[in-house]
Amino acid sequence: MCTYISEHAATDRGYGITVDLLEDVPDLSLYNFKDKVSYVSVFYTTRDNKHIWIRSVNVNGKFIPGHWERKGAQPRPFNPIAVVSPPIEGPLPTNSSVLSLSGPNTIINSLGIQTAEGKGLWEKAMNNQLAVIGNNFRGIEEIGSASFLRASNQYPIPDNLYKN
Amino acid sequence: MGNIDIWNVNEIHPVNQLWRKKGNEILLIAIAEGTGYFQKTGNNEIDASGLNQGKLFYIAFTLPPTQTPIANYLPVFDINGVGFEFADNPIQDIQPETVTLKHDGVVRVKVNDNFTIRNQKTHKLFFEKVRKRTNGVVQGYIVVATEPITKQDGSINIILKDMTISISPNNPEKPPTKRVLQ
Repeated sequence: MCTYISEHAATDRGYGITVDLLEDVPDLSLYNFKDKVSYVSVFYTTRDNKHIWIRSVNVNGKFIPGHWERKGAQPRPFNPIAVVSPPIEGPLPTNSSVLSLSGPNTIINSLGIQTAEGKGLWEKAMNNQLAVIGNNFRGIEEIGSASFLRASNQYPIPDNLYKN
Repeated sequence: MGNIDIWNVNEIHPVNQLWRKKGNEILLIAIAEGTGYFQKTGNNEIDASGLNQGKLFYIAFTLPPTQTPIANYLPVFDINGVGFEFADNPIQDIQPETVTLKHDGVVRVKVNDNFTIRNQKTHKLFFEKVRKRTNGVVQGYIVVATEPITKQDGSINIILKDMTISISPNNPEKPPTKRVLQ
């Protein structure tokens, strides 16, 4: 079993410093986690008998986070050293900006942080559209994905039945 | 020319919006299709002709973080509109107006609307999707909403001039050589 603990908690994951523990640890202060654990994830270290959990390590001063690897023919030796990760960034706040109108003036009451969707739209505008977006833009459509409705030009066949 | 914007519906569209950039000027064009063929609806489709619909153009701008030496950089735009046979009785009492975006009591974006051309009411302006990036840069869009085009073949041209001198509105991190200050 692996117990993956994090310093801070978001709704779906932990962040801040983290460590994956594969052994009993009576005193978490050893890893600077005394009274700090906010998020715990517990899971088996093998998955479908095909993958195994490789715990976090430091290699030549570089932190390599814990991850799943395909099980090899030879079992790996147990790594007894737990390594605390550098702080992992938490999720960005998703609060919207609040604007208010006062005649021709728009006043920014509070600013929300740019969302991933907003970033994508911005990059699309900048890179391909001369910094302009038209209304109802929802991304590039694949050529041929639209159905092409043409007039049948034949009295017995209504346009909406005609396929071309 | 900017990319043609296609609405995400299950049909082929005539062009409803297009834009062209030349130097510091962008020409935004809203058009209603003239044959009448695209004025049908059904099969979860909407009228593709563009008739009777206002068109929105989102023009991107950015602002430097407020705590930087170039924080008083002020993007200034001139916007004017010309309509071509787009409505039977367009409003003609048009007044020039300075539209601003303010933050912490300071004007951060200034738009001079209808200062040059005031023949017909063709559009209105507002700001949308104003957000802050993690590096403190603020990004947003000036939205030009055209009046609905109620006549086939009608069109509205909006001329937007970026009057902010010697700085790209897309790169406010780079200090301007000259600034337009309030």
